[in-house]
Amino acid sequence: MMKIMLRIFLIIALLSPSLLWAEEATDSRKEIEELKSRLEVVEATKEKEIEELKSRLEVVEATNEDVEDRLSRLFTLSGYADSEYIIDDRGGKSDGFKIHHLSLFFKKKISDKWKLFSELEYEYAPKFESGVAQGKIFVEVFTIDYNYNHYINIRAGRYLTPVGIWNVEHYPPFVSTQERPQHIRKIFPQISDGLQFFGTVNLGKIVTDYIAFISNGSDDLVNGISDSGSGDDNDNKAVGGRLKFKFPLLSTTELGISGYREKDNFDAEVNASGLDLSLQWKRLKFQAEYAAGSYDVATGTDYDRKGYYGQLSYGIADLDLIYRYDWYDADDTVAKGDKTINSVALNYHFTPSVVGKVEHHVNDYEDSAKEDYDKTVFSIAVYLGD
Amino acid sequence: MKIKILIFLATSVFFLLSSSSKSAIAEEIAVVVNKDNPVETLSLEEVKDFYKNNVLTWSDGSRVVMYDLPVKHEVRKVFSVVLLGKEAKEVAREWANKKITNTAKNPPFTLKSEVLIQHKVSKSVAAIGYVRKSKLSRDKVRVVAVIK
Repeated sequence: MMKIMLRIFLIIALLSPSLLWAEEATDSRKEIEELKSRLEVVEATKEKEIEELKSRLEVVEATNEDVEDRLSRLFTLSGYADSEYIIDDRGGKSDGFKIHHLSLFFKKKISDKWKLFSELEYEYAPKFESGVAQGKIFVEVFTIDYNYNHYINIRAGRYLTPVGIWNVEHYPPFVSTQERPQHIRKIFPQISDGLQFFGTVNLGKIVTDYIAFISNGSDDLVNGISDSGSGDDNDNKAVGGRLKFKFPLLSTTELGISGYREKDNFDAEVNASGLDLSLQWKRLKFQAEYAAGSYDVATGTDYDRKGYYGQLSYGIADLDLIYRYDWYDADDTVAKGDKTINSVALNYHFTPSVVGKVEHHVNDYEDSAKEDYDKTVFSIAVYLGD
Repeated sequence: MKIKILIFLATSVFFLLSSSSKSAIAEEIAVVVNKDNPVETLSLEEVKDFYKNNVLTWSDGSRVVMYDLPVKHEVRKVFSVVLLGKEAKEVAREWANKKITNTAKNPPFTLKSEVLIQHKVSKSVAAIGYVRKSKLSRDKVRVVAVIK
């Protein structure tokens, strides 16, 4: 009996943990099943939330693209403004402030291929009142571009004559001095009304930009009356162009060759050519331009006009130090007709769009009968852009 | 005359003293393209050619869409100096000059952040941009070059 009792006790003792474990295992399975079903619910909820977020993101992206597209098709307004204080040594010239430019640029991307660009310039704070006018309002640029591809583009309208560097890149926030080199606008006209063909062709590692244009030409280029752009009233159209080679040397190495030919309203035939060079190594920059024009005039003596400048600048942080040597001869048949200007300048870039300048120009005439003079200009120029 | 020279020198000293020094990041920058772009790798010279507008299209003729960070962004500063050889502010001035003279061929679009650059690059096959390696989302874009 004792033996039976002992066996039963042993069996119970051996089985009881197994029973307990079995019970625990059943509980765990239940818990696992419960957790699984809860996880499925959570996953389903998450998936729903993810889908909702994805569809909201799609809506936001579509809206964003729509807004970007609409913005790109709106008129873009930009421009620049500058103000100066000028100290001029010449007798009869008083020192003073000058509200020089306020120029507004309107751009519109009509489509991927078509683009409109214009510049409306207000010079010397124009005012028209009671029949008295001061200052100047001037449509300096108005062009419609058709961009076929980067090899061939067509531009029609009024444009800055695309010759040399300074004739195009002349805006105060981005040039070193308010005073431009002497020969600029005197050999090639400032603006032209006509048609341009332009593009870019890569010759190996050399990037070549070309521009060929046909335009009305000047009214009276000999006397420098070419600003109207539409004053030319003969059938002889002006033709010209520029080739710019960009070499893979230094930070910048660009060489430009320009040519221009026209007959003005007074039958003066002008054949002009120019060379320009831009170099940059780190913060050291060199820019030079040379231009020469042969004038075959209807009455009087034919003559040549020449000019060049070389400009060196060095940047230290936001400050640029500039020196320029500038020479010009308006008429080679006139003895002692040259004029030389040595200029030093400081440009301080408060931001990429705001520059403060101080420039001093020492003007020397070859003809000692003419009075040499100095000119100092303090200025601030602001680019109103994107 | 002496007064003018003094004014000139005084202005120079003022500007020089006002000039600030630069800071920079010490991290690799990844140049990224869209995952569907067939280009596997680009040399830094090729990236530079895009950002300098020396090359305007991909090999299939599609126009390159470049993304840039704001001028004050530390990554843009490093990208400009190391890759383009010019300070970001100077490059920004050059683009502004090209825009104002209507001679800009294919200027980059400036976006506020590296996240946005990757998002935009992931949406356009012709796009290229740059981000710090630590900010890279490899599921969105593909790295084609690294600037060290």
